[in-house]
Amino acid sequence: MTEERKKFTLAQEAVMAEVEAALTQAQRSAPQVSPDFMARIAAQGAAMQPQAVAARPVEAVTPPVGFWAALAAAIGGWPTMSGLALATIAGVWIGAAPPDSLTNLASSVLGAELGSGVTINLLGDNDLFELEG
Amino acid sequence: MLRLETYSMDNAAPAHMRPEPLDDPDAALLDAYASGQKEAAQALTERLAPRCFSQAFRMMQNQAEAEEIAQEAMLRLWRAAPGWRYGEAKVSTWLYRVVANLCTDRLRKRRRTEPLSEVAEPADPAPSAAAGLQEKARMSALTGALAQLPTRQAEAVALRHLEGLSNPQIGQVMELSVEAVESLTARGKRALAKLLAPRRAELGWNDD
Repeated sequence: MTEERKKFTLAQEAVMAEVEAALTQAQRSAPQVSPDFMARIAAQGAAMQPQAVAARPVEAVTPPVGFWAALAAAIGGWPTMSGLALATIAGVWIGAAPPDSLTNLASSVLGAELGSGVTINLLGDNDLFELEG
Repeated sequence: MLRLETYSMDNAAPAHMRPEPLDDPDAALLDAYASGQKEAAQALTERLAPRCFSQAFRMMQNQAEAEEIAQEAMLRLWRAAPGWRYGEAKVSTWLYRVVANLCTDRLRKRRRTEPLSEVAEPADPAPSAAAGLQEKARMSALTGALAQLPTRQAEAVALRHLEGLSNPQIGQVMELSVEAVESLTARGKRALAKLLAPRRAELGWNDD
């Protein structure tokens, strides 16, 4: 090693030692945090905190929705279902024991006794489009 | 009608559905924070904010900048809380990384606006004692020299020599092997010495 090179290396080692000393000094340099700073951080944390109610629990406690529950909900809930049930029972009762007035009404609408045959002209009497010569 | 249940403080985390926070008390607090426990924000602030601030201060040597960096790091922590992957990085390790990155970013910006030779002494009124001034000048020069280093070298040197972390710990923070950490810190220190050598007299490092 030349004399110059040796000098350079020694100087470098000295600087290295000084750099390490400066780093050690810097390590001890941090002051105490201010109460203001701590309050700011805590307030920011509180402001950004996820709310306990909104995020997870809803999903966790919702029971699976079955077919009938979904159908009931779709057509308007239990009030609608009870109306529907009443109408169905009334229909069954009318079918089983039709009142006289209903039998008479049927006769007069159909123009004959039930079962005698009825002709209904769906196009009416006129040739609307004059298709016949 | 469905009943929406709310979890009380004590059973906030549906623990059976999530991985254990392992042996990291900060992660347990972060879990409580994400579950909405009110005390958790305060507890996390007390445990972690001073450490973030000190780390930033040692690198920046400036109180206002260190506070801004620490606040930004904590902001990122609050944001990360709901999606935190427990069992991966420790919260403290993650924060070391975030603060180190924020500091090197700032130092690089500072370098662009203030050349090394013009790195000023801190503006706050220093004790008039010459030793105090010289100490500040040294710290300022050190920070200026750190700003000149490649980012990874600056981070490794700061974590090793300013934070006093071991090489394996730095390896975890920087996601590097121990050998790579050793190499980075050695190169970083040599680079610092090279940058500071011309300023020895000015910094009170005289030849014997």
